[in-house]
Amino acid sequence: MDSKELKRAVQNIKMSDEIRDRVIKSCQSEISAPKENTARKTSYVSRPAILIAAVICLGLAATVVAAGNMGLFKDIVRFDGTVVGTAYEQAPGEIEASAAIAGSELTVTAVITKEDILPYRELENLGIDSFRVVDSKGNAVFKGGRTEMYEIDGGKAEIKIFLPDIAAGSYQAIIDAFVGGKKADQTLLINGEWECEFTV
Amino acid sequence: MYDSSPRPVDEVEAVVHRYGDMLFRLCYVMLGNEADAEDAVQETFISYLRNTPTFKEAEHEKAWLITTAKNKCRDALRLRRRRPQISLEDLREPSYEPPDSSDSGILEALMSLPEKFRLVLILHYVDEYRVEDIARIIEKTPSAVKMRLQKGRRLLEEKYRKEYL
Repeated sequence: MDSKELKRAVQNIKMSDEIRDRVIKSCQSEISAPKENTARKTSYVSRPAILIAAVICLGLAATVVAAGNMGLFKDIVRFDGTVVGTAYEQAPGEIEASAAIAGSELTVTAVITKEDILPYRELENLGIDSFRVVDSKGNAVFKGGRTEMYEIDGGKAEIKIFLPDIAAGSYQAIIDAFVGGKKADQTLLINGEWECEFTV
Repeated sequence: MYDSSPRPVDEVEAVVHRYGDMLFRLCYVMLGNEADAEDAVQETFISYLRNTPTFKEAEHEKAWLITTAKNKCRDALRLRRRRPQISLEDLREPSYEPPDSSDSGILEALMSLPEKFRLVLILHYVDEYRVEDIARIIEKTPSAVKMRLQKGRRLLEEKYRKEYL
């Protein structure tokens, strides 16, 4: 194949009259259409308006920072998009947990630090939804599901967990979620992560 | 240089008649089908209208149109890679059927090459641009253009011999 053959093959490609007409028409309609004003618009914004906007922004920023320390409600959504419940997220700072063991019974004491806000001011009892116990090397020695619900009294609930015999040593109970309850109401998952050390 | 006043209708028609085939060939070889080539050519002329560039020489005008068409083709290829809408089989089979079967083989071999080789081969062997001019159009050095021409030519011959002879 020489370059003349290549040239001939490519030059056989021609724009059909139909395509040419369409291109010309679209170019003509482009000319006749009103030209978009692309010039940069200068606008005047008054200084007081800028100040007010800055104050609002600062207020919003402060609110966001404050809200950052608090938990938040979140819908529990089923696979098909249906909302099936509500959970409360990022709550570790609102509940203080500690643990102590006596025999086979581990008592987790949950102290609510923000009793006056929702959801805590409405809650009547509290349990643990899921937890695990790990040894000093980080190996899980026990995993547990939802416990019974225990009454919140004076902002405090003592949750009892039965543990099978475990060897003497230092352990950590890691709680992934609490569950809050109120009479005649659906339970509320309170998600976070709480670590409580105890020694057998 | 750019002028803000719109081009008169008859001038547009004249430009489409003068450069339409040349740009359509380029876009067709770059994009592999008539519909996309038509879109790219149309967008090129619309850019020409919107930007209203003025040229000292006709060659500069032609080079501007080629560069713009090349960029439109690259945009289209990029979009095609991101949002593939036609099968690879469609891309391989050009809708344009040249009358001569050997021409058809050459074209198919050409269109199977990577885009960077197709462009320099067309500009050099079909539109008879010099290496230095191609370098300006595709914004590469003349030695890079020479390399592409050599490699493109070799790939084209290999492809053509292997599949169409």
